[in-house]
Amino acid sequence: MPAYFHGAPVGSYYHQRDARLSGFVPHRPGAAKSVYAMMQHIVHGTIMSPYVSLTSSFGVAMHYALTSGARRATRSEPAYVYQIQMPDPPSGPELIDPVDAVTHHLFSDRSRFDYRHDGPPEFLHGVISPVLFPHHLSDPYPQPPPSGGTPRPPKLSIELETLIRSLRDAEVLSEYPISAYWVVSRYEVSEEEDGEEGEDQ
Amino acid sequence: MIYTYRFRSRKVDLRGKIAGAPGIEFLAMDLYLQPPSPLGRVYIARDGVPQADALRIDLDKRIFLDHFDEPAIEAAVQNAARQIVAYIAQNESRPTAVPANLYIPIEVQNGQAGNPFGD
Repeated sequence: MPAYFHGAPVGSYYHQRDARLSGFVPHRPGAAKSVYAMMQHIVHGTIMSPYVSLTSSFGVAMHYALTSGARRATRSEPAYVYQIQMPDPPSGPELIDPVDAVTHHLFSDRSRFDYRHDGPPEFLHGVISPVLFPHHLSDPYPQPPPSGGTPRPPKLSIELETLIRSLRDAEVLSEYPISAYWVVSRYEVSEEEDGEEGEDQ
Repeated sequence: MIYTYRFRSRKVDLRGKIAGAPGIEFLAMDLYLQPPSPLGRVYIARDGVPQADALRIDLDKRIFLDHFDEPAIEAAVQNAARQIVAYIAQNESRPTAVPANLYIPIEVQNGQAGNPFGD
């Protein structure tokens, strides 16, 4: 199985607890597991979740570690990026690829095959980055001439948003605890300190 | 070994610009310029007292990654996340290009450490 990573920003659960000793456990192991719960976990950051998030990208884990801490990561208080190396199933856990899970969910019932949006081509830019392309998210959806009816933004399903968010983060999920034996490294990372070239005020 | 990255952020003043939640005022945000990260920190005051620990925000998802137990506060805070995204989109600009060596730790650039990713 390839290496996976988990970013632990300053102040986070696995910043305060060493996952090399504890491993990773879902926040709510007993919570109901379903594709809907998985989509809520990814899109809404639901913490009542039976899943542990991992990424196949060191860069994504480093972004989380450095830019999403309760405090800036410094040399005196660095953030962590854990590297996880798991054996293949059955001795290792079956990981969930969210793209595969959502696709399977959609194809299992064609009546739910509604992940497609009905906006213009640039609509997806607005979904991916509402900061850079906010107007693409809220522009009225185009209709066949002569148009009319009630203007509304294009349709965005939780399935499509899950696909986009999980692809951004190169995300995989585990619904099982991840043993401490499989946490092979913990990188300490920090931002350049103020007074060097760090923060613009 | 601590690996240091030359990330740059700007503190954006949010005071008076975001509708607060009960007992919560939004003060400022660390907005990352290089790299233009979708993640950031939002500093708040609770009952008028500035908090040392910021709330973690995901600008793409338009949510806070931190949550409150009280439903009314949680709903108001998550609503504030969408307001913050709209405010940042309207008032802040960020470069989209990043320096080629941004993701190489300073210690590696200076020859003070081995490559953390391998050779």
